[in-house]
This record gives sequence, structure tokens and C-alpha cells, in this order.
Amino acid sequence: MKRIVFILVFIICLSACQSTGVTKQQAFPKVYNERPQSILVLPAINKTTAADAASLYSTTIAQPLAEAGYYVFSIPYIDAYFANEGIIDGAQLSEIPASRYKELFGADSVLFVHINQWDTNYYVLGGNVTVGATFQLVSTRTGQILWQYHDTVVNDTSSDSGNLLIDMISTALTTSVVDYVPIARTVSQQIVRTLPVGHYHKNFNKDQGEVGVSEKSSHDRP
Amino acid sequence: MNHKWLIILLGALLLSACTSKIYYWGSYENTLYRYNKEPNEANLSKHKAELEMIINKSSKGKRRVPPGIYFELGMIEARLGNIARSIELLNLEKAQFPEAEVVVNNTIARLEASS
Repeated sequence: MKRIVFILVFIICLSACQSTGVTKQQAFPKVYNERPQSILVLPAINKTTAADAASLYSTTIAQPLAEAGYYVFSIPYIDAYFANEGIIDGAQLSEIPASRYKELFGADSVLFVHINQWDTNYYVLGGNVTVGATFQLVSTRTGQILWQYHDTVVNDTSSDSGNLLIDMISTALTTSVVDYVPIARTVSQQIVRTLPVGHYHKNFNKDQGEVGVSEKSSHDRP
Repeated sequence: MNHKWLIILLGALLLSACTSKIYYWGSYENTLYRYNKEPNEANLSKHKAELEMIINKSSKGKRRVPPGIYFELGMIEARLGNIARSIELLNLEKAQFPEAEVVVNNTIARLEASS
């Protein structure tokens, strides 16, 4: 009996560690050096053709960041603040020195969200909905990038009944009604999982050894 | 007997994975999403009701009000002309999250100047 429990625990440990990669400390030492407590999420930088992607994507960001232990400034307020200044896309803010956000809002760091993909694809026998994003956390003290990560989730909307015509129609129908937001939510959660946790999280300053950062992604540029 | 043991162990593991949340969110993402998608008065009042519900439920339960919720509700109240209530909510944000001090002070100063 004891042996079964032991093996089970071992398997669980193994499954948790199996994603080969570097530790959070190795990937993002600057986060541990600086330990920002608050994050200001700037309006998203929309690289897609979907005009509404930014405002819809922004609804999925606060929750994972806050649950990761950071103070997150009210995203609807920040969006409204910048909209009032005529800024609706984060790309318009690229020339602003990061220290400005410290003065205006008291933020320790700002988050640039690049929406890379927000597409519906059809091919002859199937289809999919794809959402991809890059998150970049920049220090308002030094202007340096503390953490960045990107991820893409493809939701397959193909159907497989064996009948070509029915499949084509059914795929088109499923693909056209698929909501992007649950997919965007998954992308945000997967990206934020690689961020060292903040001071409201019980593992604050204890997750340096956590492996879960895939080496490839952490080094990719947006 | 053996199986019972395993089930309890697995149950405990699953439970520990599910109870790691710090805050109570209700349906925050859904009502905000609907308002962002169709910004009309009906969707705004639904989202406002959700924010109020989150605050009420958090005060009774074990989880805290998430960052930004008092602030967001405060800004909606300001838009509706309820400046006193707005300032009260902004101060609650600051009391719970000291990180909000600068933004709350700046916003209150603006609200007082314009009213």
C-alpha cells in the first residue's frame, strides 16, 4: 500500500516537472532583483486586423496577474484614461519613458501586451481559431524588460463525421461562432504562469527553482 | 481500504490545486466582456451590479476583493455624478492596496477639482 502511494506521489512530481526548460530564476533574474509589487497594463498593441481584439483581450488579463500576487491597476480605468488622451493602441506609447508611469500612477512596472494572432482559419477539411500574444513587463525604475513571454493557442474547430459535405458545413458553422475570449483567457493564463509570483502570493520569493519556462519561448523576441 | 486511501489522497491533491485563489471574482470577466463588446447602459448597469456583488460577497467570505474592483466601481459612480460615493470607494481601494496610493490621490484631486 505504502509503495503505491509512493509511486503515485512520484508520478505526480514527475508530471509536474516534465516540461523541460529553465527555472524562473535563470530565465527572469531581474524580476527577483527588483521585485515589482504593482503592474500597470497598457492598452494592448494590436498587430492583427481584428479591430475589437484589444478591448476584448484586455478583459482576460487582470485575473491571472492578480492571482499571481501582483497589484493590478484597474484595466478599464487605465484604458479609459488613455482613450481620453487619444491613445487606443499601446504602440502609440512606445516613446513614453517608463518612469512616467511611476509619476502618474505610482506603478512599479508596466505590461505591454502584443496581440500577435486573432484569426479564424478555414481549410478544405477543417478550421481553427488562433489567439497568440506576447507579454512584456518593463520596470518603471530602470526601463529594462524584467520578463517577457509569448504563447499561442489553436482551437481546432474541424468536425469529423466521415461525410465530406457535412464536415465542411459543420466546420464552417462551428468556426464562425467560436468565441475568441475563452481562448484568449487560456493564452493569458499560460503566459502568466511563467511569471515569478508577486508579494500577495503565498509562494512569493520561493519559486526561483520552479521549472515551467520553455527555453525556446523565453528567448524569442516578440 | 487501500482504494479509499488513494481516493482521499487524490482528492486532497485536487483540492489543493483548486483552492489557491486569493480573490473572489464572481463573473467579473463575463460582464466586463459584454460591456466592452456592446458598451450600452444595460450592460454597464449589469457590470456595476457585478462589481457590487463581488464587494458584498468578499466581505462575507474568505477571499478578498480583487485589486482594481473598488477603483473601477468608484469611476462608474463618478460618471453617474455620485462623487462622494466615488471618493469613498477610491479610499477603500487605497486602504486595501497601498500600491494604489498615487493613482487614488491623483484621481480624487481631479474629481474634487471638477465637482
